[in-house]
Amino acid sequence: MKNKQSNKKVIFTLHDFGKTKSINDGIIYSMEHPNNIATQYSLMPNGLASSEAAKYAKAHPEHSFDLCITFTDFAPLSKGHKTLTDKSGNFLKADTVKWDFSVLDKYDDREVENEIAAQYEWFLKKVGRKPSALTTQKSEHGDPKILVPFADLAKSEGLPIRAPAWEWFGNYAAQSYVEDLGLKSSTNLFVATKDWKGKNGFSLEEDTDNIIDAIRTAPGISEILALVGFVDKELLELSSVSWHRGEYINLLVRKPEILLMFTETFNFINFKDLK
Amino acid sequence: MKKLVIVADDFGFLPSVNDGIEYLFKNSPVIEISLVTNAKYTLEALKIAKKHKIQNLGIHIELLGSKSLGRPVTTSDYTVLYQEKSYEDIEILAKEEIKEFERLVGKTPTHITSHKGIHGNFKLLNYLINYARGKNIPIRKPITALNVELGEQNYAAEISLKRAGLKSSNYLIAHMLGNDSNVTKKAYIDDLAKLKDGESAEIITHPAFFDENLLNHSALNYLRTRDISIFTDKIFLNKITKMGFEICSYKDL
Repeated sequence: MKNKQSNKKVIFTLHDFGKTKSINDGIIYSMEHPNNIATQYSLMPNGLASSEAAKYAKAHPEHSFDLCITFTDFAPLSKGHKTLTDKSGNFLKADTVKWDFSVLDKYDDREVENEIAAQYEWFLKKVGRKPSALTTQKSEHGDPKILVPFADLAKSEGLPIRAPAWEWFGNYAAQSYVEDLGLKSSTNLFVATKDWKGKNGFSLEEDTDNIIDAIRTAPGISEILALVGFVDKELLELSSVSWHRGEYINLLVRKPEILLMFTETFNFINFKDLK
Repeated sequence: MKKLVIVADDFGFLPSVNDGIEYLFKNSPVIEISLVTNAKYTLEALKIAKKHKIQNLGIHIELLGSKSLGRPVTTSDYTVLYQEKSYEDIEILAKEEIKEFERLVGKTPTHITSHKGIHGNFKLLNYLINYARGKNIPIRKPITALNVELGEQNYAAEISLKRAGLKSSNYLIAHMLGNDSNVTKKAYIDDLAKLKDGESAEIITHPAFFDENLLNHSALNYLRTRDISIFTDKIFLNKITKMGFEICSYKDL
């Protein structure tokens, strides 16, 4: 077996499982593809196709599925809340262009706690086991309003968490908070979405060397987060991230040697390995 | 209108720092000075403050100091401190330091800053927020030097400060390194140019005269005289006011 070039541990996550049917199809296609290098899958509980995603997760315990808690997309699962939603019954929308999440200011602390519990209960019921970790869809747990009850749940359930980044970058107070609680976590995130390159993201294909160099020198456990999926009309209308989700699939099929560069350099793990 | 607070840190640390800050206070619009409470030359600094009737005196929290360690405190010292001490332990240390400030100065601080941005950790920040909230004391933006590998961002701490309703600047600007004053001045101007109307910034300065004592006790040594040169440069300061900035105190934010 070829020696790894680095001892660095890396988690490679496919994100948004459950968001739509076309995303589910793309992620399942990737999971079952012989060139797949992903080790982790983030399952949303309140997406348009979450039930189907949960069914797949239940049938495949060999894969590592985390619970991707959501606070700014789709609708809450809990009842009796007064502060979480707009008139349509969906979560208040954050502005992801300006990365303005001031809507979280409006959320009642108790309702946030109840909603996290409701999303967790959903996972236990639908998947039939605990998630391998807790994460959030847009890293909302980088905000203390979400972080505190989120970390409490992770602690009580003995679960690792994704790094509490903000805008996908480091967030010292949150990271030191979770470390102080004794929670296992990834330490930094690299979002593999081509449209975000130069801002807070990378292209897996065009920035391969840059990502590898950045991960080599980053502390702790790095997580590469890839937004993957097929695209249909429903997704186009729903998400600003559409064609970008094809990059990983394209590499799987046509340029697996690029993905091999990652697996040959680093030790790929998943969140189960952190427990 | 945009607002700018210029703060001189480390008052009380060394005689040459005290002298440098005194000089800057007399010759520039530096109007906030941050006092180290348990430093060897704190009492001398307070005499200077009394002599010049310095009103805007804040606390520069250290928790650990060179006086107690017998050597300059390092980032690793704080990393270990936060790993080993509980929230309650840190609160006790911070409370003692603030109490000592109030005893020595005779009033509450006009602002709160910290060495190496250590108030960017919740163990200290949570206590400071509770203390400051009752007295409406502004707190420096909690960008920290404690984990440079994670980068500068410290959103969780910043949003906590904001939600507590405490005053803080929108931007924190520091150019501690670099011995070319012209390059540093340009960097300040470029940073300040990013502010929109209605926003505020704090510039951190470390003014001091340079002597052997400073050389032996601080990794930031001759560069402190650069800050004296920059912040007594009337052309540079006029440029800032022409950019639409009001140089003000923390309470005016």
